[in-house]
Amino acid sequence: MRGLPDGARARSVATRPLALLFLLVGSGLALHFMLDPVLYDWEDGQPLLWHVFDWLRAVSLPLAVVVTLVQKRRADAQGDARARIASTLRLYASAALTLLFLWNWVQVDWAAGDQRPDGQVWVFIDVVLPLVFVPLGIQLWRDAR
Amino acid sequence: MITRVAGAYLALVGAAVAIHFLLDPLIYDASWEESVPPAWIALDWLMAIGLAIALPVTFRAKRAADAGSELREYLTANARFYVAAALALLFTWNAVQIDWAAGDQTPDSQVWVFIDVVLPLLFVTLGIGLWNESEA
Repeated sequence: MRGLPDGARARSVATRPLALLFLLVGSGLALHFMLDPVLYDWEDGQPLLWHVFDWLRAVSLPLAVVVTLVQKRRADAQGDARARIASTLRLYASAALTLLFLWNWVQVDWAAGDQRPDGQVWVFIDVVLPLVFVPLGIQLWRDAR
Repeated sequence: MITRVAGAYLALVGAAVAIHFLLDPLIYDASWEESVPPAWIALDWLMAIGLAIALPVTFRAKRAADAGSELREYLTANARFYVAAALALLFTWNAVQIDWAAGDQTPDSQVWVFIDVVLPLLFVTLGIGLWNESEA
């Protein structure tokens, strides 16, 4: 970062923690998803580590929507077809994941009735979220450099 | 030579999964889920090896396409890589539940249907692409 103007340095400092958050949540979730059937019998309810991942997703998904919206607006202004396709796909995937996640997550403990989270929606989120977060984190990390 | 072998392997496994998926309801009765037929177990291992081949192959193609200027190649390579990654996650999650689940979990049959439909589309096209690439 040496030699960068103050604004660029500040942006770089702010971007790196976000990049790390997306990378860790995305890769951690993918790994935990694949190991879940081997680790847990689910007889005592939702395992603690899944609650941790739920909160991490609740924080990082809205952040991903904001970051991908900024990237989409920048790509739209530049007119590069590839950047537009990639940023648009990421924004809509992040927005859809946020909606699905929040809808499913509130049913874990806060449902008004007997509703339960949909298992197949969890599978969809656990597969698609890492595919959005890991490349987004890698891109942000590179941008910060 | 390695590219040609990998291409042939992926194309054959993809075609075998597609054919076996179509014939499955005609060959096996409804109680088969209590014990998975040996042909499916064999195909599971072949799919696992195929995914281990497809992931680095599609990742390499994605990096080359990202660095190039062709939009069509960029879209194809990225689509193939992300489909391969999604299949690898889904396949691993479902396959470990056949024998190695910690509790009473069993594989999700709708996830198998998704894998058995999408994996052949990826493997056959990728395999043919690799075969043609080795001839060029």
